[in-house]
Amino acid sequence: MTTLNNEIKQLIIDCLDLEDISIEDIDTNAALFGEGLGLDSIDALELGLAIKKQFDVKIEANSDATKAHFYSVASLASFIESQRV
Amino acid sequence: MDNLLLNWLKQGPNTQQLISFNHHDIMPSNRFCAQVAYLYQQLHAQPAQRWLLAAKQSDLFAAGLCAGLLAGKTIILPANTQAGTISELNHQFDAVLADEPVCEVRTFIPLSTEITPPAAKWPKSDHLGELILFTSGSSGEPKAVRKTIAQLDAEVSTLERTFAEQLPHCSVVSTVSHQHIYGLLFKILWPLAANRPFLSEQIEYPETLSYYLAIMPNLCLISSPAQLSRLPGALENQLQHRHPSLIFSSGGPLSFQAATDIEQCYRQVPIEIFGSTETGGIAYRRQHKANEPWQVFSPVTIKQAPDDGALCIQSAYLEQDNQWHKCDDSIELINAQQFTLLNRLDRIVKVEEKRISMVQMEQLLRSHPLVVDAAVAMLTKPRQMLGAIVTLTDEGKALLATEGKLAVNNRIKKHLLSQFERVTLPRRWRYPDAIPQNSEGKRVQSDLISLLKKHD
Repeated sequence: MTTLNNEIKQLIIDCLDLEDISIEDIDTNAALFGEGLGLDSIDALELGLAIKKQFDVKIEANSDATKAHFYSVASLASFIESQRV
Repeated sequence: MDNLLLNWLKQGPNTQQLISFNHHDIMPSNRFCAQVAYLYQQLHAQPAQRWLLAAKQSDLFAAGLCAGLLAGKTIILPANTQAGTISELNHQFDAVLADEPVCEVRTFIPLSTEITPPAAKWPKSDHLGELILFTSGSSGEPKAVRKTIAQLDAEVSTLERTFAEQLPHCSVVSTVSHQHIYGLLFKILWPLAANRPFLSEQIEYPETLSYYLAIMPNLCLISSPAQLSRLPGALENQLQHRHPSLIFSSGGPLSFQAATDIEQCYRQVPIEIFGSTETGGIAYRRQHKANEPWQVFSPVTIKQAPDDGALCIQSAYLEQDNQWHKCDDSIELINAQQFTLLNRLDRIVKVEEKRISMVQMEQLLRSHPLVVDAAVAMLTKPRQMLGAIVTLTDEGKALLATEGKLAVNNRIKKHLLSQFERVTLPRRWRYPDAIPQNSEGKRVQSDLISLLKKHD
């Protein structure tokens, strides 16, 4: 799980071109959007696309479920795991 | 098609009109009438005149809006409900009509789907209210823009006249908020007046859009460059089985590339609307080729200012429809109905369609206790974003040395969040000893940009 967490963190940094932030700065359980890492709604769009491409997962149309999956690095990791059958 | 909105507001929806829908519920005419009548009675009983209106769900928002206008109230529309935005508008409103109590110690009428009021007729009104919207003026202060029903009616009637032929039996979905003029007109007022149901939620993910496209035959998509430029990537640039009947884009320039990519996925080029909160819609176009000229709406007359080349308009959507209004964009005039846009003449920029006064952001930066001076500049890569160049106080420099750059960035960002939306915050931060100036003591944009491009 640690490897996957770090993989997700690196993807966040790379795909959103975040300056001044390294893997160590991202708290696995903290909120990615708003308070926490401070990502915005456009980041959400771009991250969704990047996650879909890199991990080949299907994002649901139900936006409440999607929001829950994208809450933190930890929730993203378990979402990705759950789709790996 | 004259007075489309005015007549609708006076008569209310017909019994067959479906107001709105989402994936588990619909708002039929009778329920909407009951909601509006219920809110109307409460508003009527209150002496307060100026009501702040805010709601996430568009059906609640529409009910509050109609009730307020019918009760002759002045509706104050904040761009968002962030604490800083609301407190800046503090002296502009007396009471709150919203889905959550956005500020304390004011009369508050809640908007809620939990309440099921008894069946009632559409309220009769002898005096319709008006709307106040806000936009960032170049001084940095939010500027109030008044919209009477006559102005909004002129605009809605023109939209229907111009585009109705392309919209047979459509429902309307939107990726933009109804709290701004574009969403207000295209997602709420126009659909209500023209009997087109709208989606009560705001679409955030491409997957949600595809879901509604799959279940509904005719959809009109109200969107913006922020969404439309990213949508083709999410759709893997593939031609889609289901596509919207019509796509609108407004809020900022849509790149030719994005327009072409959308065409590849949806077999049609979006219709772009050019305008502003003050002016309403000015012109529209479909980018079949790069730098396609803009076509003015029929009630708009244009000319070019001789001194700085600025676009000047006369429009039925303006309060004074017989005076020339000078816009902040310079243009190239092609003929009496067509022009191409050149550039902005003030220090207002758009970040993801949010209008930002760089002057206001610099002022707010300078008010932070760790900051001495600040300059903000626009970068275009990897996306349209702001960068901030900040000189720090001794305390700020000490903090930078001990806690690092990220900690300082975050402290200052938090401060900016009191007045700016997160999407608009600077994504590049530089803390030099001095802000670059030329020999005349002026800040040169290209110097600021090259400092921001250079990695620390």
